[in-house]
Amino acid sequence: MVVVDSTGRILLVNAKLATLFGYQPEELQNQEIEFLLPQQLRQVHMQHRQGFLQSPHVREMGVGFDLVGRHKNGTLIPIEVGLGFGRLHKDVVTIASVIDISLRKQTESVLETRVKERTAELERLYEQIEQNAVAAERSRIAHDLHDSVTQTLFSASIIADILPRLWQRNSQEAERRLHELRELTRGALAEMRTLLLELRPTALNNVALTDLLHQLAEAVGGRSRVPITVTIQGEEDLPVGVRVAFYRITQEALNNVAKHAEATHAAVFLTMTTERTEILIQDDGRGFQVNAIAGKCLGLNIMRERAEEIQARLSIQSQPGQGAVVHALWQRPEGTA
Amino acid sequence: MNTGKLAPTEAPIRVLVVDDQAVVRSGLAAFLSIYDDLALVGEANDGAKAVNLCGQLRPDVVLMDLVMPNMDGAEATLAIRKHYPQIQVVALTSFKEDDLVKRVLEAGAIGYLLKNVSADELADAIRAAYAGRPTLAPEATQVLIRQARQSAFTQPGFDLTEREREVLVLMVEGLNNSEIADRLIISRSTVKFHVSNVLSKLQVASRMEAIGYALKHKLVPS
Repeated sequence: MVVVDSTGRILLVNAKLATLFGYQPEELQNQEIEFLLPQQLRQVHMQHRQGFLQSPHVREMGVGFDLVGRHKNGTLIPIEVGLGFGRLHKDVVTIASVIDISLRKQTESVLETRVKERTAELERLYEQIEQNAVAAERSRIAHDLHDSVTQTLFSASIIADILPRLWQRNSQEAERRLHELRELTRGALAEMRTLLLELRPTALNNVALTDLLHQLAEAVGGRSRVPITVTIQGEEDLPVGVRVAFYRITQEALNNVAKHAEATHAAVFLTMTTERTEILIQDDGRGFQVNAIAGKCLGLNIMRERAEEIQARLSIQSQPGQGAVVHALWQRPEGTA
Repeated sequence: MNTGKLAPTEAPIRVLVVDDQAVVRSGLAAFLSIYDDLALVGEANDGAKAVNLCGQLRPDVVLMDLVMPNMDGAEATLAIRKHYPQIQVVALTSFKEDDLVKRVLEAGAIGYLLKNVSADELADAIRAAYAGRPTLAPEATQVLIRQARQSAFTQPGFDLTEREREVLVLMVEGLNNSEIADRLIISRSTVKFHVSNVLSKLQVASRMEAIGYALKHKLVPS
């Protein structure tokens, strides 16, 4: 605590305050209060002090602004100052209590550093999440590659491996396997092209539906060993959205054939007229109960969504043991032909 | 190279092919057709069917894919080895992740091959499996080595000193500190020091836990 007269002279100072600043109380007696401040603050403080004297009021600890004091050895001490006033021999005296807040300051700065660190960490995490999403997409594609192309190429390489010996044993069978080898390599190529389309979906916009269908049939046919025929009627003149939707519907339908149908043959028919376009994907596999898998099968849901997007009518018909037929019909809105 | 020629009295090794991809099953069927001492007896497109067919066909060797719907390869291997221990399983996969290798070998597969093997390598692996000899792709061997290393150095207690091991053995025998001191002819405070080191190296809180841990992980001769 320190008591200062109206000219700023220190009248009284207690030992605790003197010690805080590195002095003996006697050393501070009669010094100007600004003596305890760093040079740069002295002028400002004097003005403050005179302002305070014009309307003296109590200032509680903690509401005041943080000040910096100057220690005898020149170092700066963060302090907080509370002010009160009183009268002594007709003079107004100011009574200031001063506390050292360096510890608090330190804590604050530690907290601030932590906040900064955490913020940086969050930013890093956010970036990581974004990268992870990209990585997840890449890894899905890598997985698809594994699932399709690797399997097909493994089979092709094994067949190529044994073909010379097979030729000596059974030339007819060897010829059949050679034909299979050709289908497998073509299938793997088609599969690669399909995957490239998945990497850059906008590329779909520039490829004719008929080409896409042939590519799908080669890719899926190669890996499932189910022969898939593609029959096209009419000239293609379709909006991009319709082309993409029909491609996706066929892709899902053929994937289902490959995965579940155990078919011996599948066929794709695309018929296009100026008014309407329809596609039929059918197989002679083991079929299924349509109601039983409604809503459960991701592939069927995707087909439905794709059809809805272009307001096409989609129907799926199947019976156990009877194969399956997927049919999509799109009608050109009137007046747009 | 083994030409696969059979002595007239010998029956071929009966092989079951398990893979969810038709293209792989087809290639493997072609492959098996050129070796006189190997015969394809059946195909399955998932693990559950594989287990079933093992019961019906009793093949000698199963070529097992790993990532499949309806019971994966490791699960199927476990079931086959449990019910038909005479049937050998060779994993044949395009994946070489540590976890897959570890799981299927733990399930009892005798071989782990990647889908980049040549026909003759695959044939030799089937013959080896039939004779009870393992065949591992280099990638699978690496996984095993890496794991052996890891477990040797990460299991708590790998860094016990010889003296600490001696103390641990006596702890397991049920001796208290002063009995251990008498036995090893050292002071009780030295015993105490060793015991506390043992506890901290095994990452346990009490003597009882240390004994339990030592028994479970065979840190002491039983």
